[in-house]
Amino acid sequence: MTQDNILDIAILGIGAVGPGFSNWPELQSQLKAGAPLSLDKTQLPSPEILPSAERRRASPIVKAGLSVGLEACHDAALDPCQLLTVFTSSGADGANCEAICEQLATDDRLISPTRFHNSVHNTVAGYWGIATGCMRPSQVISAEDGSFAAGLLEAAIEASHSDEPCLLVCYDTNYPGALRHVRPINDTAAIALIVEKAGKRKGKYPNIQLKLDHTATPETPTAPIPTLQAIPVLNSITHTTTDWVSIYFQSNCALSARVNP
Amino acid sequence: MKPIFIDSYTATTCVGPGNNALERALQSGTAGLLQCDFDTVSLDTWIGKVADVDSNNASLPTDLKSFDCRNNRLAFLGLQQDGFDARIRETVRTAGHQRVGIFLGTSTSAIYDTELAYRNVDSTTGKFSEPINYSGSHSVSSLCNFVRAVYGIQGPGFVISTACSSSAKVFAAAQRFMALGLIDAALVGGVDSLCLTTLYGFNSLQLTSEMPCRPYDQHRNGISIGEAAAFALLTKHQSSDLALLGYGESSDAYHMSSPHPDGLGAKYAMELALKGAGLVRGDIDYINLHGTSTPSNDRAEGIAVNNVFGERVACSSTKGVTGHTLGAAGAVEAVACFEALRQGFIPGSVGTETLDPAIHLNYQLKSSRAPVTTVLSNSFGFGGSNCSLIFGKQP
Repeated sequence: MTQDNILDIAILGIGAVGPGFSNWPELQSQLKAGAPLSLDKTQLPSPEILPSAERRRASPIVKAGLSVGLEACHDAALDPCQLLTVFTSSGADGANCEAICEQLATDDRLISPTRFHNSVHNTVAGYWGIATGCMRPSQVISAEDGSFAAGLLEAAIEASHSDEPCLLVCYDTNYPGALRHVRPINDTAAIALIVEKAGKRKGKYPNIQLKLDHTATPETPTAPIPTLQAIPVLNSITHTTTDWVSIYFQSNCALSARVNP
Repeated sequence: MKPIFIDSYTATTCVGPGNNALERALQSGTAGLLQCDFDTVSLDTWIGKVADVDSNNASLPTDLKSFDCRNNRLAFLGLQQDGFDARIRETVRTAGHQRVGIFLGTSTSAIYDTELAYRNVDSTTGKFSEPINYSGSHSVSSLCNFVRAVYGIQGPGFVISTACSSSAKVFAAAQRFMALGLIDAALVGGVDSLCLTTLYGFNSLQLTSEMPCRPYDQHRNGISIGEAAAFALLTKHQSSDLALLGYGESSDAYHMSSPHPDGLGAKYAMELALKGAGLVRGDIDYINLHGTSTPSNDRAEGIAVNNVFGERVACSSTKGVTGHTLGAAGAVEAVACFEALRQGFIPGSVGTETLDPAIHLNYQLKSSRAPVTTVLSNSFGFGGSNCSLIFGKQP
């Protein structure tokens, strides 16, 4: 922590999947070209790392979260088994949540055990542990539309506090049923970043600074998928932008980021 | 780590609103469980219901009606106890809105109100028949949105949702934010309320008992689901004689709904908590066990505690009193520990009759008076999420 409560962070690895991009290099080339966000349907990978029983039960959000987490680890050449983790999502597995609520509104309320254990907000973290064997501390949080900002801040704090790299995985998926009318998220997306306290090693990406900002007006909190609130930060990294960009965190409090000038 | 201080705290559980109700029930060995009469649930199980949630005491003020849901009404009821509301307002005023953080644990948040909304979906449009406020009264974050709005808190905050370890981990999150200088005080806690998802869900896994739960009993066969709201106000400066001295977090990396059979993740969490606090096992006077009363949890936790502490340290599960309050359990049991430290007693284990002879712990069936200066509390959740907290009395 330097003065003005600014966190200086190195970015060691990035992973991404979402509408029109199936990995970070694809998203990065779109950002480089200044292309508008694609409306293509998200193509989800199948995480080979999961044991077959778990892979069969894996929902879109588990596939998305695991694949971007592994992509970021590969990008950073770090062993996922050793990493602290922060998982963050607005509403986690929307389809599973709605399937349970729909069934509980009928006379047959005997929901399946798999549906139930997939209903916890920390499902992706659980599968990540099973897939990688990582027994390190893991945080699973939510701040609705500000979930990416909350996760990035928490990961930066974990990394600074522990003096170790920390993997952030942010993901959201759509509600297919009645909730989509009140919570319109149109597809699945996931972004992963591995952060570390700045100055420990020369990274492949520029270092960034983060600060809480109570006066900034963040960009509108209604991206079609809350995870895509990450785009302004990824854009700054891609273009080495040293001006502050503010992303939505919570009412009266934005998270601002810039490449360290 | 440098201790952070417990300025004030409060718990509302099925034994009644406020700390005194919990402390009396713990000391006298009184359970607050009853046969399940929640909503239209037809399951042969016992629950820990907070009766006052459904009374006028818990109804939200007009300006907060956009957050109305049973879980937030329980939160509001809890905040009104033990003078806690006044302490938060005072702290927000003196520390400043932006210097108070908020970290709250919940597993199901407002899902009960979403379940109710699904009973009224228009079959032609596929929409809810009545309009609903997703952000205020249905999302997992609604608990944090609500409490921020009650106190005008503008500091950083979020919900932690790691199933049954959620509201233990909020203490750790607050400590890190304070250590890095982003906040001077934090409102932490946990609120989880009864809903069909957890009642039918734990039933589907055959983890609910048809009897009141019996932690660590030879014949234990499942949990009794409870609901609760518990909060603590944490400060960087010494504001009381109680402090968080250390914490340990770990992941099982084993199974989504079963603990590691040897309690390996639980063992790591307890070892990390001792290390963080700069303590050794002999320094701990009492362990508040996770002790859910499922065969697998109590067996695995028993092995882990025995591995770290041997058979000397007095320990018990207090879930026979409160039921398993899931995402609120960590905060409820932190309050049980604060009362044990302040009042000088070791809580017993309500409901437990014949101890499991295969588990080798100094397990306490009855409450007893004893000087208590340092305690450890365990909370473990689905997905293999483990957290151990160490609290102590400071001179």
